[in-house]
Amino acid sequence: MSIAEKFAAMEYGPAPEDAKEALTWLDRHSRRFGHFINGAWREPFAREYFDTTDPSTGERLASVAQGSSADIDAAVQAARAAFPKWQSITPHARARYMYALARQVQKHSRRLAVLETMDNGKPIRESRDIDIPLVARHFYYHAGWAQLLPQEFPDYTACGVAGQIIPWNFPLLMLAWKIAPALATGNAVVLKPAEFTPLTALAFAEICQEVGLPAGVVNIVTGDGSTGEALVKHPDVDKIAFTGSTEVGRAIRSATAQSHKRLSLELGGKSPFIVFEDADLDSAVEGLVDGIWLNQGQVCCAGSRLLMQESIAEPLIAKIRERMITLRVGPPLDKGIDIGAIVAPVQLERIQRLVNQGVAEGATCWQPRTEMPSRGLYFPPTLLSNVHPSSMVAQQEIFGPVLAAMTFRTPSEAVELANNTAYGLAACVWSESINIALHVSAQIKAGVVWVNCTNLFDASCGFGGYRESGYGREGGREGLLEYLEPAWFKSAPSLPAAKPSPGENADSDRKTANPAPGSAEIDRTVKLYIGGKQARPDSGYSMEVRGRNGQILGEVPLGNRKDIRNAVEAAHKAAGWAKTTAHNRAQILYYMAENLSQRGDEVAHRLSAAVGEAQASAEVNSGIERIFSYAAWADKFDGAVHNPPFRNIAIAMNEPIGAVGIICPHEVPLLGFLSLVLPVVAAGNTVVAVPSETYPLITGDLYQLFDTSDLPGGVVNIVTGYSSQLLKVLAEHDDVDAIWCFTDQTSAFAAKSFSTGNLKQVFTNEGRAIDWFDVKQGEGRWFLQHATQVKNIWVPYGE
Amino acid sequence: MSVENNRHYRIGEQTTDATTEGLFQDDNQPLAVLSGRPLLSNKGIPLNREWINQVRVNTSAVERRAQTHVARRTVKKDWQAAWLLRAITCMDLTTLSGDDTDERVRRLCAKARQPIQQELVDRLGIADLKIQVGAVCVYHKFVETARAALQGSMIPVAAVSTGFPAGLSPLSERIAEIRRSVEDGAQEIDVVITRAHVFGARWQELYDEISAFKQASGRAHMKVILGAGDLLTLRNVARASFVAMMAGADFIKTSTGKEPTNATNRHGGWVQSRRRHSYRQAIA
Repeated sequence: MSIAEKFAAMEYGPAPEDAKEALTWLDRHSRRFGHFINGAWREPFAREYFDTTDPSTGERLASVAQGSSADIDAAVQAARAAFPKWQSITPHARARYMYALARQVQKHSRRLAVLETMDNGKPIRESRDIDIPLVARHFYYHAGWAQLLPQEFPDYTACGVAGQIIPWNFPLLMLAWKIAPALATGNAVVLKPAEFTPLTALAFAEICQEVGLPAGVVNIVTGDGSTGEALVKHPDVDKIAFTGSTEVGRAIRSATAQSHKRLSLELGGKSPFIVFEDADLDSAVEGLVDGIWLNQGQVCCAGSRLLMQESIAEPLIAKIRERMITLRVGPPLDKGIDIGAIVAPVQLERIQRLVNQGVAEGATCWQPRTEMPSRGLYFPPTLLSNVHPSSMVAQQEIFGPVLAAMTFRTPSEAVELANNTAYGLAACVWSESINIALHVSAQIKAGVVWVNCTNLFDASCGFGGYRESGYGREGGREGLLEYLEPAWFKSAPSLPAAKPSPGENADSDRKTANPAPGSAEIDRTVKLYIGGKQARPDSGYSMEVRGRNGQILGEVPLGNRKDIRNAVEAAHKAAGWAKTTAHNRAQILYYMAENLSQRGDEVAHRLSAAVGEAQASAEVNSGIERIFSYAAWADKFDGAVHNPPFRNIAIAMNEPIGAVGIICPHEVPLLGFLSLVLPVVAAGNTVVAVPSETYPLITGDLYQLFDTSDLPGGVVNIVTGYSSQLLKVLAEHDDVDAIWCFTDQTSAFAAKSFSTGNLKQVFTNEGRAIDWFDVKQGEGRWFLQHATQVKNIWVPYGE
Repeated sequence: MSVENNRHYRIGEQTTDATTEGLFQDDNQPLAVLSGRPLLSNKGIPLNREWINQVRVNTSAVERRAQTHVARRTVKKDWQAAWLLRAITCMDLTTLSGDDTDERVRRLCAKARQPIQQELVDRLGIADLKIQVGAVCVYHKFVETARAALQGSMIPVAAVSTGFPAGLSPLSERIAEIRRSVEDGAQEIDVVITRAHVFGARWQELYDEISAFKQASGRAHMKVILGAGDLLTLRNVARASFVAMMAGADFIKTSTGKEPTNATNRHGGWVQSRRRHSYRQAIA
């Protein structure tokens, strides 16, 4: 075609990015990579390799090692050996290494971008302008944290060896999200990149060599799911961080349940993209381009569910279609391409299958007549309208360039639809009214809410999900905590295993309670406490409570599954507690302290039969103090405003998690209960608590305390019974949003095992003894952090 | 609508004289042909306040679009040459200085006829395209000079008018200025608006003013310069764009080149083109 013809045609023409340097790099490695272990390249033990290909051409790029459990073991050993020194070098020295990593990434940014695009299929525009700059930014930001760590986290220490498993959609960026905070906090890592996209991780390994990072601090083992499994199951790994599908996340939760491994999961999503009638519709359409059509829609936080206010649905759909026509699908190395190649045949087939299924369920499928490349793995931008909230394409993550559109009538309906998903990763809210935008943002259950923008990321802002989108945050101060533990906690002694619950074979030689001399007390019947009312147990059975000397102190109801169900229901009905003001919550807690102080002597007197006089009075006194502490915290555990490099306010809000099940420690019946229930309540959650099995009679004192202190019914519910049985019911209950278990190790493991169903957050003492009388151990931010989840709301501004 | 319509016509009647054919041209003759596509005159529509009130422009989002747009598309090699040639054909070659002379204008016109060196034309093999600029733009005083210099070239002469660049002379003088330029042979008239009408949200006044300009322009192509750098907010630019198009602008432009900030791709690229797009769809 002559220039004259091109003048008439006004077409873009090809604009390929030069791949020469990346190819040279591959050739320099003879297109064959071993694992990166202990600072050196190592052949896999089993000598097995697999190919990684360019999805836009199907051509083989290189062979990479298939990691076996022997390879994982070598890597974990290397990390373990490197950890003590890495942790103990000065923060400044760690900061220097991390700064060097950032610089080196920047210096080789184009080669990394090209490599990423070749391996993954994403447009070079994205890898060049989004992925790699964010990688460098992540290391810069965390170099800063390495420097500041001892001042800002004085009582914390690194977890140890972190096993990290990352997905194929943002290969190097996810590596940065995992490695940067881990290194900054002094951990050593073993990272397994995704099977489809290992190359940039291997390029990063070389960067680690180039900056002279001490051997073993970063180890990279390539392979498939079995390699990841070996890493997850390795006994000498202290922490697992995973980004990927909810399905695999669940399997990892199960696989790590019988261990002390810390776990953070960043899983799938079906994020709502809400457009109100007063939105800038043209800009919202561009938001969708950056949302569902970024990275071929293979983005966990992609705005894949479009919720449109009815009044603007028609013009909006028209604008979307028009914009879709101008999207260019093609070879990802072309600088003028919007949609590149789908990562692998299996993914392409999955997208097609789900779209077909959606159409079979009644959705209308619209695709522009886009020119598609003749070879390679491509899928056109797709709009599914007439989608109903319950249909499969509105519920399942498609992970492709497919938008499912629905309408709503009112803001509250928008919120309802937005939250009608098992996920809770991200959301977009488009409205020019600050009232609507912030009101809706506050109500959406998602870890990230973008107001009038989409898919903005920054190292300074935590990213992570609610509900089945996982737990833990990456980025920001909140992200560092995933790789830190309170220093005292790691060295706390283990609690002895709890005696097996007496169960049915209760001994018959009952010793009667010794009545206090000279008085015949009226029988005091302790009941369950559900929805602010005393309730008889469903079972109609009671269990006896014995004192220190084996004497019978009284009886408490034997709670069962039904009682837990009622309690959880009551806890959900009381969800309005989250909306009461923090000041109001503080007032109620103070009132509680007042009332406990008034009745302290009698509470201590009764408790002393179980724990002795000294402990009983100490529990009451410390208990009053603890109530004061959390009354104080209620209006002070506030969020933050982050500083991402945009003209923008990024608000990090500490939000309550919801209904929390709490298994209280046996050994300190009153103070243990208060130490766990109060931070949860102060943060705005509601509670179903199982009190100390040693002295569950404390329930009677507690509900009198709550009743007299104006605590709204249902905020705290108490079910007595065998804690191991009730733990299982609570952990398995899908309407319980988090489970706290502070008894022995077996129970900690059980809490993790049984909670995989809805991936509820688990917080346990790992069977370790906590000195509840020590304020450093027994109260404070550590508990409040577990009682809340951080929601980052991005609000750009400017007129 | 009816009230606004009446008022609109009343203004029209006041300013109508015998030489003008009527408020809107009835004939569908194109003003010009661009790449084989006829450019029809915008006949305008009655002022629709709802459109103006419903304008929503999110500045941050528009900025992001403007920033990333330049990285989303590129043209290379022959395509780059072809696109640059296209840009030349869309260009108004302009001189608007106090020190303009007839000779300077003639030099400009010579450049307009042959914007690319012959050697380059030959090398690119584009002699047949006869690449020329879109127009030559001058003050009224030089319309005749430019007209003469461009004789036989098909390049239209554009005159900046209506008290350019501030647009603050009396309305009757601004209208008379348009007429004089049209009489001297200007085929395009660049008008400036009273920015104060935008700040004061006096949309009817703005509409009437531009309608009067349109009427005075007659068959000439009317380009409305909004003075985006003066209007400051993108919302204002968007509203003024709508009013100008409803009042019959054939073309909306960002700036006079004399404001503190002139054309940016936020103003012209996004805010104005989106409004133009909406307007086109609405009247289609």
